[in-house]
Amino acid sequence: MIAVPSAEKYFTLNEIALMSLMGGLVFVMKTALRMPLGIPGHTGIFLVIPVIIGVAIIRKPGSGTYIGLVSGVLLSFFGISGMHVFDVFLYTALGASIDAAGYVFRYRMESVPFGVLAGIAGNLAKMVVNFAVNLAIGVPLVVVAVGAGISSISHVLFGALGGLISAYLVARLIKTGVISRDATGADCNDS
Amino acid sequence: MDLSKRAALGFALVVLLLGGFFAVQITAEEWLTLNPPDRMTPVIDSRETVSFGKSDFNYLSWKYRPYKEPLLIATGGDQKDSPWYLMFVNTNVTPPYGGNPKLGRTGYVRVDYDLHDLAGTAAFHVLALTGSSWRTNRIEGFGSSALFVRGDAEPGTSMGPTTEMTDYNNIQVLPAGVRENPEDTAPYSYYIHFDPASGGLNSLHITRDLSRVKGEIIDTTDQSGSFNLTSSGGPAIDALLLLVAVDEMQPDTFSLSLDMQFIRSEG
Repeated sequence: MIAVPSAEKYFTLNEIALMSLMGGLVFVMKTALRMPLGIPGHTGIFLVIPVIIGVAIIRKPGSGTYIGLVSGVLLSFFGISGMHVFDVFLYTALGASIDAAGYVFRYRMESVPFGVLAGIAGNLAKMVVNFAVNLAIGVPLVVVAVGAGISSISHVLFGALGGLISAYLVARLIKTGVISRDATGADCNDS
Repeated sequence: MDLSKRAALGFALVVLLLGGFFAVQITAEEWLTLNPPDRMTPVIDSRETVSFGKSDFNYLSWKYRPYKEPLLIATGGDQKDSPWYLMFVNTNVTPPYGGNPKLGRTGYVRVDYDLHDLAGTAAFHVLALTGSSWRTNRIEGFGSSALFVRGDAEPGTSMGPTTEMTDYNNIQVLPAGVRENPEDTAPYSYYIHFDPASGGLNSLHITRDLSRVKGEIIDTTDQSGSFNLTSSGGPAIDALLLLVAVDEMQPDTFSLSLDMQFIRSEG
């Protein structure tokens, strides 16, 4: 019998379950909350929320990327948005950038500036990858570039609003004891 | 570095990125000023020229055409108790759009047709896929439109292999001239589905006079001419088919040429 060295799993089963649920929640929100606003990036107001909350709870690099990947794969398979299979790149980028923001800000997502910045990072990353995919599939550069400025403003705005809501929700989760934090922001269960 | 400095740097980076994106946008706008779109020829507006013979009619139907319930191909004197031979021509051009100009390229499709040795009547109808449901033109009631061309050639004695249409909704339809071949891979086809819960007869029209928003019934003996496929609203069209039906077997010398082009109705 071959002995398999026991290695500590990076994510626990509970964390994987939570991240998968958060990824599924992004997909459900994208499907259910259809607002015909026609403003670029308006879905960022709710898409970043499960990712930020997931990252704030799990507090490990890679958690946001995992959530983004799960939601991207679901959206790609169901093909409900205009980018179809390319959604996996968009949402993985969204998750990865919130991941990076969480790491830089030590997962203090309950703080409004950090939550807002994480939301902006996620929504802007999604926009940039969207532009890259458009260019890759042959959309002329001028068509993509001519809306870049206005589009980035709306992505920042809606990402910031989503981040703001997330910060409020994370703060409430901490206050009610669902997430444990000490005064420095460290997880009380880490010791 | 403490967290407040990181936050300040983060916001500064966001402002920097926004400035960069605006610089890209302004550059693109300047480029468009120097190279106006009117001088460009978008690929999507390229015209399509196709020719068909009698063997390209690949469907046979008794009086009806696709809709959520069978819809007449012709009415009145044209409504014969005889089979019609049908083909569905992919227009392959930018579809007509008559909705909000902010949301789409408004315009219509001009079709130049040229019939040679037509026997009986040729009926032209339009079908379009919008999202998940199809739409077509009506030939009865308010907003009727269609084109009927009468020919005087002697009818032929045979047509190519045809598939008899028994269903008119939720069906796979092959483009003109294409037939199912069990030994070959599945050919490209259209799945025609008219949503029973919604309409579908009020937004697509055929007309020669563009001022007639709802189109017109055109009855002519002109073997060549032009007509327009128009849309008076509704969602953008994803695919546009021209249904051509003849009520007689055509002679071997029969031919139909179509030249289709999207024409913008603004600018």
